[in-house]
Formats: sequence, C-alpha cells, structure tokens
Amino acid sequence: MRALARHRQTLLAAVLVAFGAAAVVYAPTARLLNYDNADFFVFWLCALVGKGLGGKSGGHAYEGAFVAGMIVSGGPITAAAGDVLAALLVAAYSPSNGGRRFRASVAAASFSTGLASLVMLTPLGSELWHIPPMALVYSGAALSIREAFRRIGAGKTPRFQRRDLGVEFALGLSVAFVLSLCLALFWGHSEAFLSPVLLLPVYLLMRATRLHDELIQHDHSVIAALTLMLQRVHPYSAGHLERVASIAEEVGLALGLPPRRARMLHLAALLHDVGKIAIDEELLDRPGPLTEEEMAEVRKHAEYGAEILGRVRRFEQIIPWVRSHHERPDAKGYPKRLSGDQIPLESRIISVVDAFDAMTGEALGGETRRYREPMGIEKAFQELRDHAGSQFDPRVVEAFCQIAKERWT
Amino acid sequence: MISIPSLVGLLVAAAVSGVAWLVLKVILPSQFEARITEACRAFATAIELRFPSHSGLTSRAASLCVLVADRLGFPKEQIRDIERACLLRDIGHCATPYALVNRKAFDDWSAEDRRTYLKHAGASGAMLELVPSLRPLANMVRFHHRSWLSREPRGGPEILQEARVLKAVVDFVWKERFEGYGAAIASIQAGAGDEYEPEAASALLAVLTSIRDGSSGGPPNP
Repeated sequence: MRALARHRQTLLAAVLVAFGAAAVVYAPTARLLNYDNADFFVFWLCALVGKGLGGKSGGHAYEGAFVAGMIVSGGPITAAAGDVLAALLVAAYSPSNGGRRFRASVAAASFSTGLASLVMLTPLGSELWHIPPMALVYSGAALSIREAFRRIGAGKTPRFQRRDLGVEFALGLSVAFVLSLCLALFWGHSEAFLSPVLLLPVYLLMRATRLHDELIQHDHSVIAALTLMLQRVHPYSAGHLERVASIAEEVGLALGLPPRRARMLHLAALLHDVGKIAIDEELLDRPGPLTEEEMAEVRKHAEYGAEILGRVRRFEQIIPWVRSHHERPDAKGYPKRLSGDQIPLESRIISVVDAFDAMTGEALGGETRRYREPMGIEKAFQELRDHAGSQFDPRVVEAFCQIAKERWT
Repeated sequence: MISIPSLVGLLVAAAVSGVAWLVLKVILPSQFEARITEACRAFATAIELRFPSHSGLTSRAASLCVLVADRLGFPKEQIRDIERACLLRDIGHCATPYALVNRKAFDDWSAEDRRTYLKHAGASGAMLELVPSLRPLANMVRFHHRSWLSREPRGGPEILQEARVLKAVVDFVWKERFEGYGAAIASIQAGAGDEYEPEAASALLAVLTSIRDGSSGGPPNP
C-alpha cells in the first residue's frame, strides 16, 4: 500500500509539473514590458523566506503575493523556475519526511505558478492589476495541492480530527490577497525594495497558525487520553468506541446533520461511555444478571460522563448527547426518563449504534463481552427493528440498517 | 522619500502584523491555558468520581501546592505547572482496582495492595507522556510519591523540585483527611529530611501556620 501511495504521489507530481510547464509557456508575455531583474530577485528572496517560514507543513501559501510579483517582473518561465528552485531549497533544509516533501513542493510550485501565469489571459488592464488575482490563484492552487499530497501520504484521518479546511483556505487566500495589494502598491511606484516588510506579517501568521495547530492537537490528545482511561477500566471499550463513533457520524450525515455537527457527534460517540471510568469494573463485566442496586450503580455512568465532560468548555455541545444516550423514546430510559423528541437526535443515534455494536461484538472485529454471547448481524438488525419505537428511534434504526448493510453484508 | 501609496501598503502590512501578533501573543495563549486547565479538571473529576474517598483532596492539595510553591519563590510558570501536576497526579488510578480503594479499609491493605495502589504514579506519568501539551508534567507526577531519601545519588532517580513539593503536600492532605490535622502536621515535621525535602516540608509548615493565623488567603483548615 505504501509503495502504491508513493507511486500515486509521483504520478500526481509529474502531471502537475507538466501542466505547470505547459501553462508558463502558453501564458502571454507581451503585456509584461517592465522586466526588472532587481525587483525579481527581491521577490524571489521574499518567496524563498516565506516558504521557509512555512516549515515542514508547507505553510499556508502566503508567498503567493511574492510569486505574483516574480511573474510580472521576470515573466512566467523565470518565475516558475525561481519558485521551483525556492521550493527545492526549502525542502532540502526542512526536517525530512521522505520524498513526499520534495514532490509536493515541486508540484505545488510548478503548477501554481503556471496557473497563476494564465491570469495574464484576462483583460485586466496593466500588469499591476494582475498581481492580486495571480496571488489568489497561486495560493488557492498551492493549498489544494499540499492538502492533496498530505492526504495521500497520511491516509484516512478520522473525520473529527480533520482540520477545518474552509477556515484554512479563507485565511490563506485573504492574507495572500491583502499582501498582494501591498506588493502591487510598492511595485507600481518602483519601490519593490519595501516588499521584505511583508515578511513580518507572514512570519507572525505562520507562528500563530502553528500555535493554533498545537491547540487542536492538544484537544485530540485529551480525547485520546480520556478514551485510554476508559479502556484501562473497561478493556472492551477498545475498538467499540471507534466503531460506534465512525458509524454514528455516517448515520448523522444520512439523517441530515450538517458536517460540523456530525463531527461533534463523532466526538460524543467516542466519549459517550467516559463515565464508566467511575464505575466498578467488576459490575461492568460480570457474567449474569445484576441486582437492582448494581444496575442503578451502572446507570450512573451517563451522568458521570456528563460531569467529567462538563469541565471542558469545548465539549459543552455534546454533554446533553452523552447524558441522554440511554434514554428511550418510550420514556423508560435513564437518567431522566425523557421521551420522543425530548431526547436529542444525536443521543438517539448513539443509542442505536452502541446497542448494535454491543450485540454483535466480535462479529464486527471487536471483542466478545464476557457477559454476553455475540449475536449474528442479521439477528441484531432484527432486534433493532423489533424495538424500534420503544427502545430506539425508528427513523434512526432505518438509516442505520441501510448504512450497516452496505458496510457488512 | 516613500510614495503615499507605498506608505498605505506599509500601514496595511503593519495592521495585519498587529492582528497576527494579537492572535499569537494574547488570544491563542490564553485559549491554550484555559483548555489545558479544563482538561486537567476533567481528568481530576474522573478520578474523584471513581474514588469518592479522594473527593475534595485534589482541590485542597492544588491550592496548598500553589501557596507552597509561591513561598519557595517558584516563578509563575512553575507554580502553574505544579498546580496542574497536582490535578493530574492521580489519573493513573483508572488502572487501580475499584474494589481496592472503595471496598477495602486502608488499614486492611496487604503489602501487595499497597504496591498495586502506588503503581498509579507511574501510570499517571505514562499517560501524560501521551498528551504533548501535558508531557512536561509527566516526571512531576511520576515521582510524587517518591521519598526524599530515595533520590539520587542513593540509587533512585532525580526528583524534580515540583515532585518534592507535591509529595509533602499530598501526604499532608491525605493524612489530614484520614488521621486529622494535628497528626498530619506531626508527620510532616517528623519526615522532614527523610521522607520529605526539608525545604518543601518547612515551606508547607509555614504556609499552614500562616493559614491558621489568618495571614494567608489559602484554603481553610478543616
């Protein structure tokens, strides 16, 4: 699989480089009358430093403004060659992560410069007015290519861990646009030597972006640590939580939840049993029936989970979903005996998926719970349908069965 | 002389830099701090719910740790770290059998039970290693039950200053809960230089005295 991924990357890089080369050759250069080697060199140095500030991640393509400056001051072919050289230099001095860094950098530089050069085809008057749209095109293309290579190299990332690409693109493009306006003002008045000043906001933004990434990473590690704590207490949670979370999110999307809410549902499903940390593991895993008193103890986990997650403001939205994941439409659930629509849709989804995974156990690759024999998949579907309306939401059961059938039968 | 449009460009660049600086130096760090503290509280809550007999111990220990660290002249960041380490010191208890703590009296514990119980410090440290933002606290937590005598160069590991304070404070709070305030004070006095680092023990005793005299705004003695 790794070899295949490597070839896919090489193939993609080759196509992108070929397109970039063709585009820079095709781009009209008749408009460009103000070739200036000194300006070109200043812009190239700025692009080099801008790329370097991006570090291992490749940055956010803020250097688009400088590349646009390179195109108007040196022509598309020189600009593409300069940008590829800058990308190679930065890749060579960045912490190594194999050939991916080289391939992604060269492909992004070549393709994005080529695409940006094609902006010259648009009737925007003097080349000065081409700088901002060129910067936008360059940054948009570079961001997309780097993301594509990241995805090919890293494989499938759990959905809730995916970065908010919309925000990243919006930030990258708007910064590139503002910087390119400044650069156009400098260049238009023969003061390109002022351009290195623009590296200050680039540097600060890069550092802010990196800190923001660390913040997101911190959130993910906290979630991982909480699930690990639960797995220490209740080993059968391993695998179960991930399965429930991934299917719950799919069911949520199928039932019309917006993607961001579906991502939160994934998170809630991952943490829905976190309250079991506070429950006697002997009760959770005892073969045979529990007394009423013991059942009451086990049932406390829904409230405990809400209490633990309540300490973290980011989890505010999912607390009611976690608290209500054992409520039933017929009001016989716990802890608050809610009924019907009083139960959040997200809790109803977790309830169905959780029950199915608990019933089927090792049939889906999980471990068999000591207190229960695993059930066949078809029988588990039937069980869900039999209890639709009383224990489970019928709409959720139907959506789940459809998704689960596609997945397992 | 710079032209007016270029001056405008410079001003725009300065404005973007200002916003980025604000985000980098003020907004994100405060969000980071808040999220780390919230995470510490969530972990501490999980353990206090698991072992109700521990309930309230963590908050008292954390506020005493802050006062002792302050008295010892720790810088602000170190005081913040020791408070967090105190909140997180017991997360490894998720691996401690529920029945051992909740169903068996402490006096009835065998040597094996004690060993099992004390494994939580290592487990806490190992868990914190998994969270990059909390990793610097791992060794404070790992050695928070290590006695002063077992330190380097007597064959034991180097014990961080924060762990030495934690040891004294946590032992005091535990004894205070189960044996009473007087017995806890006596035990710290007797253990100074042996179980506890002398400096940490005397700072703790000084803090307790000032709380008793009302000259410090710390947690009230029970």
